[in-house]
Amino acid sequence: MTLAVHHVAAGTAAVLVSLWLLRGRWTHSHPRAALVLWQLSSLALIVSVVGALLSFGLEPFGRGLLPALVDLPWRFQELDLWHLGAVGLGLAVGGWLVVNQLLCLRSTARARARHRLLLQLVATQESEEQGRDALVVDHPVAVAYCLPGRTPHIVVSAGARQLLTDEELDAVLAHERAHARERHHLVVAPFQALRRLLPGSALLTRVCSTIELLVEMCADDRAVRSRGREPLASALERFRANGNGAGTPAGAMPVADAPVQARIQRLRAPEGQRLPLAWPLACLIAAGALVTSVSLFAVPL
Amino acid sequence: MISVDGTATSTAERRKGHKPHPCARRSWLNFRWTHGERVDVAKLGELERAVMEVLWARAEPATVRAVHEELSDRDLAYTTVMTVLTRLAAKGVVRRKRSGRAWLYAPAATREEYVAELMLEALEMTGDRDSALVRFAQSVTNDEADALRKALERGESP
Repeated sequence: MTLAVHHVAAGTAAVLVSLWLLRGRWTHSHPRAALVLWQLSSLALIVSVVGALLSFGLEPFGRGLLPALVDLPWRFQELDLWHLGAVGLGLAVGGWLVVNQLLCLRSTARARARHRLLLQLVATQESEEQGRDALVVDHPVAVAYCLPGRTPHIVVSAGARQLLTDEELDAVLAHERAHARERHHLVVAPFQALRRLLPGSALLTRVCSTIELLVEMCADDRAVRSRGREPLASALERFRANGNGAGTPAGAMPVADAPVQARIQRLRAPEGQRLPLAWPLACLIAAGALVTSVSLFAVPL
Repeated sequence: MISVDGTATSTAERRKGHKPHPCARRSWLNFRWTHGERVDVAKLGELERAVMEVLWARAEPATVRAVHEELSDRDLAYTTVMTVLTRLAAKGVVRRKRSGRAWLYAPAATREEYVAELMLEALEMTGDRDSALVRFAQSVTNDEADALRKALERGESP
């Protein structure tokens, strides 16, 4: 039972850290630090949930988790229904999570390959006179994005070029380059895969959009370093105003307004909050929970 | 339909005309084997685009020979054009059907439909798919959104 208790304790610690992250206002000032903590605590939570189920179920064997799992096919008739159920659930949850991540990776890779192919067929390379490397798609909708991959592409639509001044466009491109260089899609992907597993979960949706917002803020920070705050803020402002301009009949696009507002706010009036002293402590707790849970799998008892 | 000497000519052409810069480091990843030919992927991408433009410009489906003739100023081998068309068909952006002994190729959708598909994906309006992109910000008026959806529907039910 000690094993299961340890896992539950690790999971509780991870949950507490996540709750602190969801509530904290400092995260907008230090998106990178918050992202690291998010990744640590989420991984710790998942490992400890699977670990708790398995260690409860395999407890009658009186061995460490991995040796007990190896023994399972020969000795499962020694377990009663409750323990067998816990083992089954633990294995199912663990397997399901891994398979889901792989499936999502595959479907995303396919969507990206298709997108890359179409870009190659219809997009034009922007003239290089201003040192820009973006692809332009000739369409009046205003959009700018980064297609991640081995050779990432930065794409702007003709609508976005028309909407933005040169200075703003440069800031937007710097933002997209930051996404590409820092491989932000790899940060977001595991959380999006989780959300796809439970599409109805309000909590997961909220966590996901928090992560997406933090990633955007990281890229904003990077762009600000080379292009200054104001062009980026006014570019965001223009995007927001443009989308809301039309009337909103049924089937209107939900323009994600609050996150954009938060980004403009922190660009125009940075709060300059210092990293809370609790951050290293929270990192330590989350990392400790993760290490505890993972090592409990290996420790023979 | 397959010209026997085509491959040999195209290889020779490539040897002569397409010399990599000595500084350019090339890994095996930059090449792909297609029908026994070794083709530079970047060059292939540019060709695919050119071939699509020929097909889009024509009203009716075209044979490989017709496409080859339209691209005559590029001095391509017949088999190269055939390879590109086969690849495009495999990727689903070109449809082909038999007509007698020859294959006829036609674009699977118009350029406008492909642009609409790109934009819909960029705006995350394609439904439940994982977002494959990282966006800066987006803004779309409702008229534009409707027009995009219609364009894609047209593309799916030809």
